[in-house]
Amino acid sequence: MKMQRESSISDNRFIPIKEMNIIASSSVGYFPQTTPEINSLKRRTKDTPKYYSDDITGTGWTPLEMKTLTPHDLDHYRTKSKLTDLIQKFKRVPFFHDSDQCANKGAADNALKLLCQMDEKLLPKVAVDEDGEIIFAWNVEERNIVLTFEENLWHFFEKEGSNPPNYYDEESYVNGEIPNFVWEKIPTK
Amino acid sequence: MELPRPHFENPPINEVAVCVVFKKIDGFQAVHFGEFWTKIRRHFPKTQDVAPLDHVSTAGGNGVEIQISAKPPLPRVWFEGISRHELIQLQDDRFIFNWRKLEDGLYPRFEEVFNNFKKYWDLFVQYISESGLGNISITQYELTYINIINLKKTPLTVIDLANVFNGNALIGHKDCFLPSPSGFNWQTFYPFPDNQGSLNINAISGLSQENKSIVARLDMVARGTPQEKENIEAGLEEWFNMAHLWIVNGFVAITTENAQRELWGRVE
Repeated sequence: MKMQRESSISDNRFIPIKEMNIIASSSVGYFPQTTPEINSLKRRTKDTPKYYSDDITGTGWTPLEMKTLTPHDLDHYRTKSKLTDLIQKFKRVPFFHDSDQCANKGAADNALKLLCQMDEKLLPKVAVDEDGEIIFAWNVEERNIVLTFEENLWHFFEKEGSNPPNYYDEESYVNGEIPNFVWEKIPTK
Repeated sequence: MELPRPHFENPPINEVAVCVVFKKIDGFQAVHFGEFWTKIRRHFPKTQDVAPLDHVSTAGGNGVEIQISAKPPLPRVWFEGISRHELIQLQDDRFIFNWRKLEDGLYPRFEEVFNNFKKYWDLFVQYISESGLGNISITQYELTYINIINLKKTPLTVIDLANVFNGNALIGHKDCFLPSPSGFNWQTFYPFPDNQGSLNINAISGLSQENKSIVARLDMVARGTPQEKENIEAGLEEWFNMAHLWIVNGFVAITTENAQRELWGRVE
């Protein structure tokens, strides 16, 4: 026995929830360009973002996160984009007048990997030091945080008010990135 | 009237899917996926089972279908190409050839994608015939282009994204009661001439998953049913060529000339 209801035009034009097929990314089930960054994004996003993918091609190859973009959001993305460009530039252009040294490529890539995930985090001040390491710094009220990226190691410094500072020095990345407890110390927007 | 064939040096295409939907083949079983695979395995060495796709009518809506059967449902099977650009999807009522853009940025043009689809579709039709499963009865054609529109700089407002599209009344202006939108999702349907189906265009703003940049996704889906023609093969090619020209010309119509030249390198 087979029953089928043909859709009429009026059925499909004005039922956005059904037609948009807003589904969680995991139900797409296929991330062909899965990278560590994407894995981190999935792990670090508290609420799984909603992705538009009405799967018209059956692949899930072009997921789009449905997000309304306020002027505040756009400011954030614009700044993030500038910082990304800056770090990329550090990799290819010497940053001191009397030196031809560029930023360490691995350090810069590690910094970019973290920056890519910072949708809900306060964006850092970014600098490069004389060894080619990338430095992210935050100064929020009485709290100072400095995160330094090397190719294979990271360093973290935190000082809040008159409390003694916290140091994590020459730590290794976990699966290519900083561990979650450090991520959670980065101030949110 | 012959439609123009505009050309872009750097089109924003992310995916193309060429799809044929047909009546369920009586007698098609799980073993037939494997047998067909042996014919294409050299070029499509990896497989994966996924859930079957629902039917979508030419008007764009999903048909609701309830089936009661003694047989367990068959999956949709992915045959993944060596280059990772290509994928064949097969289920008991549908054959899809997918192409996607990768880091190499290559886009082989529609003609090449279609020729590759045709090569493997013909193999499938031949296999079904040789296996004694009868003839394939096509019920729908579908050609899909998914574009990702990424501005050169992060947009100042969502309107910067919207301004890539031509003459959309939803864009706010200074005398308008409504403020600037913080997102958009526009869906429109355009009928093809001579009852050949329709073109469904859907433009959505959002964030790309890959690098969280602000983008618009422009889906262009042509759907149509086969016309009564003596030569089914010629009818198939004719329909897909028509659909491709509609998608390209529809893209030109729905986007601004400035965006076409500045972002995608339109060539006369």
